[in-house]
Amino acid sequence: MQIEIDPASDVPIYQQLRDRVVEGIANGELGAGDALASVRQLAVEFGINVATVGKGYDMLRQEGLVRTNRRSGSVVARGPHDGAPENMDVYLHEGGPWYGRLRTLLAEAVAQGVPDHRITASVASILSAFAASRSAQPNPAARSAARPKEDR
Amino acid sequence: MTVFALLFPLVMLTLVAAVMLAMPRLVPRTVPLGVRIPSARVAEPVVADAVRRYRVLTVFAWASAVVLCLILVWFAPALSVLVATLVFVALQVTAYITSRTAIQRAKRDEDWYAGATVRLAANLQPTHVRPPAGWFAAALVLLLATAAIGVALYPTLPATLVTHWGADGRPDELAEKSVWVVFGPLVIAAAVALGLFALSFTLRISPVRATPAETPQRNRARAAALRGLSSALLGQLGLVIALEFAWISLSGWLLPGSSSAMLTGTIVPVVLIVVALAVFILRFRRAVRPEDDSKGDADAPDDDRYWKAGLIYVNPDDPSFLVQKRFGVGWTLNFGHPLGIVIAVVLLAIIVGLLGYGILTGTHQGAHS
Repeated sequence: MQIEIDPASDVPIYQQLRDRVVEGIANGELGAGDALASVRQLAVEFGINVATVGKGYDMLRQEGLVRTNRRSGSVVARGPHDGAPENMDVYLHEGGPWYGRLRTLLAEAVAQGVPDHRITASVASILSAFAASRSAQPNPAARSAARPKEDR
Repeated sequence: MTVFALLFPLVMLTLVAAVMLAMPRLVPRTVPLGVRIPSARVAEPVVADAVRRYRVLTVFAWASAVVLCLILVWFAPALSVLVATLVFVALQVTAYITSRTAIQRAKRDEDWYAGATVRLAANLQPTHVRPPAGWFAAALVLLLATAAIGVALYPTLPATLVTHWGADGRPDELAEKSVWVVFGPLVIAAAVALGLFALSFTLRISPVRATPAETPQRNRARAAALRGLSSALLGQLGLVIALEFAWISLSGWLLPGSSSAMLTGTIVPVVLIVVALAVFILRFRRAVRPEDDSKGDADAPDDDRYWKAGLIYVNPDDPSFLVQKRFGVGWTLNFGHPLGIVIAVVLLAIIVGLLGYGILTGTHQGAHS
């Protein structure tokens, strides 16, 4: 999976890196168990600071989306098929951090006068695009078998 | 000076010139003559004109070096090849630098990068490089088999053996028979093959940076081709070196003084290396053949300022000590990285040492002939 980063953006590079990986997991381009490049390798491929990539990977580890061990390196730890998260409250409970961010995001559109049904249509279209992309991916077993060949 | 000793460098010079002529088609279209341009500008006439000019000047550099070599061979045969090579390099660098300025000027004056969408791209998956284990194993088997023959022949070998031949193919150095004199070349060849095998592991940390204007598939294909072919080439080089040392040892034991064995030992490895390089370039070219399937929605950042004269990379903020060549296939050093500087100094010392040794022994031989 190729990811792109905007070096001129106000969003910090480690945040962009984290965001692209999360999107990759949501749309199925990255599946649970898929290996990620090491921090150093990815920094060298981008030509950016090693610490910046390390910070992005740290965020993903804290969110439980990536795990790193000494032998197999960093791998994707979970995905949409792995059932509901233990900390469902973070996402769905009023006052949870994700809930708060979603609330602000919706408020931005509402404050500008975007009609409610258009907002819900956008949300539905994004979710169905993720689902469509996921079902277009080869099944996880076939993909992990094909991967070492394509990039040797 | 034999005809062969003159013909050989001229053939090599011609091959190098041919590769330099093909180079504009081996590098990404967004870096013509080492100038980074947005993908929307790859079809600008000024780019095509500069590449044409570069090609004409390259042919001129080649022709000048050949003519100079043929003239010098009558006056200073020992220096003719060295001088011709230096003249070719100087003219070739001049061809590159003067041709690319036209693109640089147009890019600056017309502000090509204004409004370009700039992105950094990379593959998130880890890099796998297959080490050239098969080639390396073949080299070791060959050397071991030769050593076994050497053990069998050892008692029958004469008390003094030739250890060095002059440029004219005649022995100019002898040594008394010993285990080192008989088996030393095989040990050296094994060490060199092992060194090349070890070098293939640096391919894992050698970046092949993705071009955001290209599709992920093409970026992946370029990286895989460059790493895979480079790894194989290191293995093939190790096998050719093993072959050469095995041949020198065997012919020295079995056909001492045979000039046809000497000639075979000189021509065959060169032909094999040229074939390996040709296969490398053709296969790489096939893997990165330009097609109009570029996404074109984003461009790599303008990094021209890190490339001094479009040749030398100096960027202290780059985490890699190796970077892809700006105008070439393979990697070069980052002179802004501490490790890059250390390696550059060591390599320079080796080159200066070898050149100095070559000039000293070359003039020494010239005085005798």
